[in-house]
Order: sequence, then C-alpha cells, then structure tokens
Amino acid sequence: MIDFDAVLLAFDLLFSSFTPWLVVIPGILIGLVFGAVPGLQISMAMAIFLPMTLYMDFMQAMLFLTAIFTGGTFGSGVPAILMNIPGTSSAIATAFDGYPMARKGKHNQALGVALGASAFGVLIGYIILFVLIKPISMSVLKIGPAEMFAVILWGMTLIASLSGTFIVKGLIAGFAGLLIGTIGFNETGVLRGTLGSEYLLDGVPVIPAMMGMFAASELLRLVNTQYLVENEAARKVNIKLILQGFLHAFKYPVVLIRGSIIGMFVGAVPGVGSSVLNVLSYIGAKRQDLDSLSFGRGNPKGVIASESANSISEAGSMATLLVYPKRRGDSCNVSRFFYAQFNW
Amino acid sequence: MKCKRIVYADLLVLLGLALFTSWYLYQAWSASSKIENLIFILPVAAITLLLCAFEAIKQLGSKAVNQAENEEQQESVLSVLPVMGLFAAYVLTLEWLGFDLGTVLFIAAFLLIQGERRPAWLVAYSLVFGALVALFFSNMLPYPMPMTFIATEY
Repeated sequence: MIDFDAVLLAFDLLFSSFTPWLVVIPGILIGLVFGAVPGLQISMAMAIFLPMTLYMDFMQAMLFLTAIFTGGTFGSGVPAILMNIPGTSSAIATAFDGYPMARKGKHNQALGVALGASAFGVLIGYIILFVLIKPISMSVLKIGPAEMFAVILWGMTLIASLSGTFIVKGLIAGFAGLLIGTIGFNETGVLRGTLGSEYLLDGVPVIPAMMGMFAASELLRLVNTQYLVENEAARKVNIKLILQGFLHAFKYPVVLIRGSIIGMFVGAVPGVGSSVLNVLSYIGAKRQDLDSLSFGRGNPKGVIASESANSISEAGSMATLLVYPKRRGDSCNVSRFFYAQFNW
Repeated sequence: MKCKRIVYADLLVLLGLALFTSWYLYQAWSASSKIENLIFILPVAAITLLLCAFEAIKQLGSKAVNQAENEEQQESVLSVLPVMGLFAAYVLTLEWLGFDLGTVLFIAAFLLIQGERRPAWLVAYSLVFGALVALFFSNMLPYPMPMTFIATEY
C-alpha cells in the first residue's frame, strides 16, 4: 500500500538540509494575518506570495505555501472566536461555540482549544492520509454526480439537527440558501436573478456574503455593549490559560479524531471544501454528544470539532488534486499553478 | 395584541423568504423555461414555499409570547434601529462617497450614537482607524474600490 522507497526519498529531501525549513515560520505568520483579517482569504495570500516561490527550490516553495495555508486556517478561527466574524468560511462553525466562550471571558481557553485541535487535527489527518492516500485517490476517481448528490443530501439532512428545535425554519433557510447558490449563469449560459448587477454574474461571492451575515449582524448585536467581555479582569490575554485550553482539547480524543477523519475524507471529495466540512464536523459532534443542547452556548467540543476538521481539509483535497484536478478550492487552484511552475 | 408582535415578526420573515422564492422562480422561469434551467430550482422553490406555508400556519396557531420578554425585545430592536439606518446609509452611499471618506464618517457617526461625546477623540479615532482600514483594503483586496482621497483604479 505504501511505496517505502518513495517515502525514504521524501524524507531524504525533507531533512537533507535545514534551509528549506526557514520559510515555514514566515509562511505561518503570513497565513495567520490573511486568515485572521475578515475579507482576506488564504488563497489570496498564496496567490500574492506565489511569485516569491520562483526564487525558491521546489521543497522550499512547497513548505512555504503549505505553511501559509496551515497558518491561515488557524488564523481564520481567531476573529471567529473573539468577534463572531470568521476570517474565512472555513471557520464558520468555530464561531458557534468559540464566541460564546469568549463572551463568558474564556477567550484564552477558546483560542487554546482551537490551536490544540487544529494542530492535532493536522497531525492525525496527515498520518491517516499517508497510509490511505492510494485508496482515497482511487475512490475519488470513481466519484460521479450520484455521489455528489449524496453529499449535498447529507448536508441538507444535517441542517435539521443543526437547527435544534427549529427544524422547519432551518430547512427553509437551507433551501433558500440553495436557491441563492444558483444565482448567476447556469451551466447552459442562462442568467438568473442578478438584478442586472455584473458582480453577481458568477454567483453570490462567499466571502462578502459571509461578512454581511456575520460582521453586519454582530455590529447590530453589539450596539449598547461596552465590551465583548463584561468582566474586566478576564479581558487580558493570558498565555497560561491559552496553554490550558490547548491541553484541554486532548480531553476529547473522539471529537478530535472524528473531526480529522471528516476533514480528510470529505475534503478529498471534489467540490466540497473546508467551508462545508467544518459545519459537517460540528453537526456530527453535536449529534453524538449527550449534552447536545450545550452546543452553541460555549461548549469547547464545538470548537474542537470545527478546528480539527478545517485544518486538514485542504490536505485531503491536495492529495487528490493531481488525480482529479477539477472543482477544487481556491487554494488548490493556486497550488495547480505552483505545480505547473515546476513542470509537475 | 402587543404579545403577538414577535409572532408577527417571524411571519414577516417567512413572508419575505416566500416572496424572494417566488420572485426568483419567476425570474428563472422567464430567463428560460427549459428543463435544464429549472430541474433544480423548481422543486427547491416548491419545497421552500410549502415549508413557509407550513411554518406560517404553525406560527399563527402558536401561543402568545410572554409580555415582559416581548417588551424587552422591542426595546432592544428600537435601540438598534438608528445603527441599522446608519449602516444602510453607509452601504448605499459607498459608491459615490468612497470607501475611505464613507468609513471615516460611518465610524464617527457610530461612535456618536454609542455615546462618545469628546470631539477630539471622535475626529482622531475615526480619521486614523478609517484611513488605516481604507489603506489596507485598497492595497490588499484584488478588486478596485471606490475611493475619494486614495488613488484607485476604480
């Protein structure tokens, strides 16, 4: 199953020199900034810094772009936790419980939990991917419209469990969302529902829509509020508490591993990106939990479920990128340019 | 009568969604009535409308909400209205006012509504913060944005 000769060659390439590793920290910092600023995207960071890879060798460039992506996915969870505004769509579910934690003064723990889940999710996901990359690639090749429809249907049925006691309202919102998703040109070139706006020709862009939904609603919700955290003593950033939160994430290994597995497998499905699977993972955790009513009110398991899934998503996607290059996330599209640049 | 207001608010949202769905279905139908165009939109719109009708009937038959809770919600909605108006004005005037000037004015007005009365603080904060945001986004976003003072390709 595993080509050990190739593995040895890869390790040799990775550890023969330390110089390629020098770009990892700058890459993570760039990713963190782009992920943490709502409106900017990780793919944008990768595209902006792609020309820099022209001056790097393949290994260094690969590490640089991977570091940007990894830093970005965690970075997008920071404003989600602190301000209820996800930096990118991959951290939508992080805000569901991260923000209530922050409002209770547990922002340090929430950030730590997100960091722990993110780091562990990536590690577990990469190990599983390392073993299963071949069968995953083979199964991705067999994915057709029926399987894609099954994934969409799965998402729709999960809306019901996310909505709690308001199942019908949740379904109405889900179906209305599906309709909004069809705005713009269809496959046969027919234009629908753009109201004459050229900005909608390619559909409703996810990031501005997300900003409108989260940032604008939060702006209104915070009117008459002096501080996000009422308790003055709890407002400080405390490394000790962040570390406590980091370790707390490991108290829920089932949530962590399930998130990683969902992130990796669903991320490998063409057309399904991290924006979908962080919500899928969150819903999965909520459904399985005995105290599902505490989700959405500051349950750290919600943050763990989302963060463990979103960090590994693009790795699953990247693993099958070369097998099935169509319908990928923006970050993978940038990576395709990168591979083309090195004649891969 | 007052107690039913929140139920009516829910009904209003449902009505809005139903109207949007009907309008969108009509739009899609007018654009092309071929099966390739409507194969997805028609069933989804039909289900949405049915669900809206079902929920509306359920809401009308539901019990009235607690008076105190209702008054509290009403109060919070009233305090948000000026900010909603300000935000709408900011978005609608952005094109001709420019992102830079619009943002500075929006921040200043927002601070004023929130109770900030120190003129120096109002001017300095809105100017510095607005200018920084406008500069950052004009340089980082890949789309040209309307600006009054900052040079742009818009």
